[in-house]
Amino acid sequence: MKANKHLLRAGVSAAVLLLWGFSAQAGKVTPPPLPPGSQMVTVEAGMTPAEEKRNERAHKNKSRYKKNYLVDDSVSSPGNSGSNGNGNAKKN
Amino acid sequence: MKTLKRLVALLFVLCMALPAWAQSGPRALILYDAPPGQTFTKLGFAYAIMLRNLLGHFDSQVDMVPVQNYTAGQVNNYAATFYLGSYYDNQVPAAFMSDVTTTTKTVVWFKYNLWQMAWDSQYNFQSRFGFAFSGLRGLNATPSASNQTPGFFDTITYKSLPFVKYYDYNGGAVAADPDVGIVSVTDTTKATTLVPMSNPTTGEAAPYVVRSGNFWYVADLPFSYIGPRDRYLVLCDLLYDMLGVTTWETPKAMVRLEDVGAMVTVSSMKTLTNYLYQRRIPFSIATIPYYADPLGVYNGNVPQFVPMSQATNLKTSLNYALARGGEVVMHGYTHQYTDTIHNNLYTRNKYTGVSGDDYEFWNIVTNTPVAEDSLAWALGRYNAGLQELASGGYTPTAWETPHYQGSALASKAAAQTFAKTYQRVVYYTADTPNFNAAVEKDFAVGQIFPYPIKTDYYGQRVLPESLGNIEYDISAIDPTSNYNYTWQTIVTNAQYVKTVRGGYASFFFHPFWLESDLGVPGLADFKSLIQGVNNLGFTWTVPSRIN
Repeated sequence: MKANKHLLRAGVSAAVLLLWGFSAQAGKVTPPPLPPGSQMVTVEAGMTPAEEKRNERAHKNKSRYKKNYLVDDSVSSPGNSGSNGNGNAKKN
Repeated sequence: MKTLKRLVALLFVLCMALPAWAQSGPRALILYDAPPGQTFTKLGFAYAIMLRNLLGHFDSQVDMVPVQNYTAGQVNNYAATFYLGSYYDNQVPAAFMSDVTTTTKTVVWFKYNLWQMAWDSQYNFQSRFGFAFSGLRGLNATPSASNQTPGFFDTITYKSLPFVKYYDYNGGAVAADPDVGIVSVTDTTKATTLVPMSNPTTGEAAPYVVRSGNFWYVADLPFSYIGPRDRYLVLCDLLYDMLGVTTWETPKAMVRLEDVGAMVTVSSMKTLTNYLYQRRIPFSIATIPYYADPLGVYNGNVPQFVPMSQATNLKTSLNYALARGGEVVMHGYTHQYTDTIHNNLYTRNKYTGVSGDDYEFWNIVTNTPVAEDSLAWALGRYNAGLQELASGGYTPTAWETPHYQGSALASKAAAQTFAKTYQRVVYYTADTPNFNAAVEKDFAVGQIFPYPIKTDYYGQRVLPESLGNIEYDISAIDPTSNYNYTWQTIVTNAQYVKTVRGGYASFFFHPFWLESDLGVPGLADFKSLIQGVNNLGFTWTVPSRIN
């Protein structure tokens, strides 16, 4: 009998808690629905993928293979096709 | 003597403390969503960092606080409070919403969760502020293979230009940030639509930014997928009004010759220098002090290293330019990385291991800090680069991180070493980020600035590169160089940045585009770009002239 009373008391307490919880939830504003397709959308903070690629793309200059970093191509001399500094460099 | 020592010590302490109290701009509070235990818990913090950086332009002292930690009355301690509603239905503290209705200080509310105040009768939102919140809009329909671009409110008209929001549909996934809050002004004596947005597919229009006295609502959170014509620039400009700042610089322009190292072609540099000098345009040269090709990729598999002392053509080019309006910006120490810990495992980071090609301060292969990453390691490289430059008689006027990405510690070290940086910047939600955590994962966010930032999140002074650079599709020569970015595109970008008060039209150019074997009209396009920016009324400047 005593055990039953305890069970009853526990049941009532749980019900009161549930009701309280429900009423507290009822005070919360119901949010607007998310728009269609939201589950497909990935949001990334920061730059667009195109801008991120710009940070590194096309920075490679293949024309420097075996380049002589001591020969000034802007100075005309025998064996140096050179450039006068007013136009594109001539490549051998 | 003792007193003198104490005085010196006191002065030292005061000097060290200077950055903390030297910020003289409006004090600002950023509240952000950080619901604990979620995958995207830290996303709101990433947005907060981006806004904090922009506020650095105004020399603001900024506090960033998770919105759940807001304490009653806190708004009144700041000239402006920004709430970043990035997490759908994150609970906003009642104390904050209550304060929003009573404070005389500026409050700016972004995107989500306005309904918690607008739809709760206790706040009398509509009668108080003169506008109503009706719900969210995003994509007009669920995208599908047959309807890949259903459209959304993707156009923000500001100062007569259409600013865009990014969208990409790729096999069932959508990269975009289409959601916006929909509000309508109900009392024009209280509220004003400052900026409209439109949905080209449906023909609808709605307010993008509404102001009601000291309360602002921005329907969007404009820190996602940003670019040179993005609606992000609208916010960059409106911050002047939100903060009540009434002065700004006249429009400036900057041009930087990029990735100039030991292998530079002198004639190209002389040609560009001559042109700029004739036009009386000052310019900078992003200089790589020490050339390294540890794998010999461009040298027949024989490792090649060229210090400044041997870099004859580089010194010839720099000396010629410096006598004609050029100045040196330090662009890395070697602009490549050699892994000294894992037996050179990541020496290709990620292309060739050669100066100018690869990342130096970030392991792009693993998307982590490099193995050696530390303040001391970065400081060591910066000082080594400075010594290389000094050995040639050069002093840089600014720092530029290779490929615009370094670790958090590398950026903090840059702030300690260089008075100015000149770049875009990547920021992290942790110094050692974990991007793959199931819960509370970290984020890296790249940010473009339209104007100088006096102090960013890492303490750096950042001068902007806002427009990009000329690119050509030379995929026949280099498969990774496979797209065009024209001078006309960059001039159009400059029109957009000019809408921002104090905006800088800042771009860079690779001198190697003048080399004839590439078969591109590099010089002609460079001249067109200079002329196009010039025609827009910008005044040319260089890092050394910017305070």
